[in-house]
Amino acid sequence: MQDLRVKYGRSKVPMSVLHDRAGVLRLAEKKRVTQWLERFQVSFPELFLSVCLVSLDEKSDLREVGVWMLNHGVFEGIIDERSNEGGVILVVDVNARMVSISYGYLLDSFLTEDDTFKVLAAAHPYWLQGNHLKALGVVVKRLSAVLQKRSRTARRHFAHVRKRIEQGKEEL
Amino acid sequence: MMRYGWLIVFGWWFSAVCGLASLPLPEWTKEEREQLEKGQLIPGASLLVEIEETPAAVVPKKEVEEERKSIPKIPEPEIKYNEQTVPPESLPVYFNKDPRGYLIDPQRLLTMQETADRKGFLNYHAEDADIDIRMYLFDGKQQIPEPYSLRSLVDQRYADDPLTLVVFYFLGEPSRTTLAFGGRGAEQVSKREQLRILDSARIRSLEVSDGLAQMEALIVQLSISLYWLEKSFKEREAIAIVPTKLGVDEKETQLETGDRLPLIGFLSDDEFYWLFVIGSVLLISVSFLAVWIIWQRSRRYHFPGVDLPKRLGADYGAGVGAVIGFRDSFGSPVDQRERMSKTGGDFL
Repeated sequence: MQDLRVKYGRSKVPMSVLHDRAGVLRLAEKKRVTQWLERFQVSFPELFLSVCLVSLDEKSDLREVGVWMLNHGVFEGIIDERSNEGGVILVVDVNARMVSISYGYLLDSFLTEDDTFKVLAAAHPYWLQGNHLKALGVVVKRLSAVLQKRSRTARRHFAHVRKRIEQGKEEL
Repeated sequence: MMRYGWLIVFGWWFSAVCGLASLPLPEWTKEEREQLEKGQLIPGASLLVEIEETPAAVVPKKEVEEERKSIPKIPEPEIKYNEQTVPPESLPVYFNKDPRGYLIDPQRLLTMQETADRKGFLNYHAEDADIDIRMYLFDGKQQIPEPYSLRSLVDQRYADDPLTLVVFYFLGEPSRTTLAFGGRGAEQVSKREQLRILDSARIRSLEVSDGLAQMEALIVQLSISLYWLEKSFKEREAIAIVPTKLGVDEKETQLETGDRLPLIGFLSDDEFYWLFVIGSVLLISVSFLAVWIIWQRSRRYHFPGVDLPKRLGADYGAGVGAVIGFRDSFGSPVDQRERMSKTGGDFL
């Protein structure tokens, strides 16, 4: 993490939940995506989803940027104050044509890399077409579905989940 | 050309003058001149001689009167036309004889050409449709005398015929039009359907002011209504055939299908009932769906808060999900998936 701070900076960075640095969305599209992100926050009171559409240089790595944003971003546009531990950062590099998902500690026990892959794969055709709005809609929908399922599972088998978490702690 | 014309005219004038000059003119004698001065001679009086005419034979008035009296008087037929009654000699043609043609007009209320036009359309309809139209034509203010009536006519004359629409049309008074279905299958046409057909025809005919145009509009509208009626009949038959083929008892089929026509705006009480039931079920379903959607939207999904140890100095998270590229249109997401090891995922 120290390497990332050296590479990208140590200070906190103010960011909005929809961060379109690449400028690929129209104003109306931004409004729609913002609505989806707000609805996500309403459905998941501990979580928030942030979308970053950026154009990175060759030295930057998508995963690194995602994790760095998660730890150094001060996100605006969140309904009530929520810890970044419940954050999900979707980073789209429109230049390198790549996309990644990073998430906080709160979802460590509930999301896997395969889950996120399925979410991104569902939106893959739209990204190929360059239709970012549609792709983001699919991501929000699929990710919500996965998290709803995980939430229900967590409530039903809370003891089991807690046990898994404890096991994870021991492993660490 | 003008020059030749003048030459011809001049030549004609010259020859005329020469001709006149050659004729000897009459000369007055002295006696004649004296008589003329005294007024005793009138030139041309010989032409004004009166011709003696034979007097006309005058017949004495008495003889004429006697002769007139001797001529036997032929009694003039008393024409008593009452516009409110149907002539008695026409009644048997209307009610006691089998109809000839589709337009029954024993009173000759229409001209030959008009009759031919209306008959032509009714014949055309009869060729094209299963339900014929028999149109009985009356004058605008005529009343059907007792005991004759449309119902009795239909029952007596059309009971064994194919399904037929019998119409009493009063010329110039389309609002007085009455109709009834006669023949086989007439009971399948409900009163409500008959009223609907009648109303639509009346309304269409009242859109025009001319009596003949009204009649034409009425016939056309009746033809259209019968087309839809036949269509609904055929749909009913198609529905009824399927259970029969599957071996369902015929009585059961009749009970299922009912004895009234469906669709095209013709709804019986039973159909209204079923429509109400289906509508209610749909409304309840939609309501449940709406409630479910609202509930889903308002539902909150919580995650249990657990204290996980910080990994590699990251304050809030170090979870890295999948990374995929969308560079290659032909490559699948799996092909373009970037594994952790490939992209230097050991930065943490």
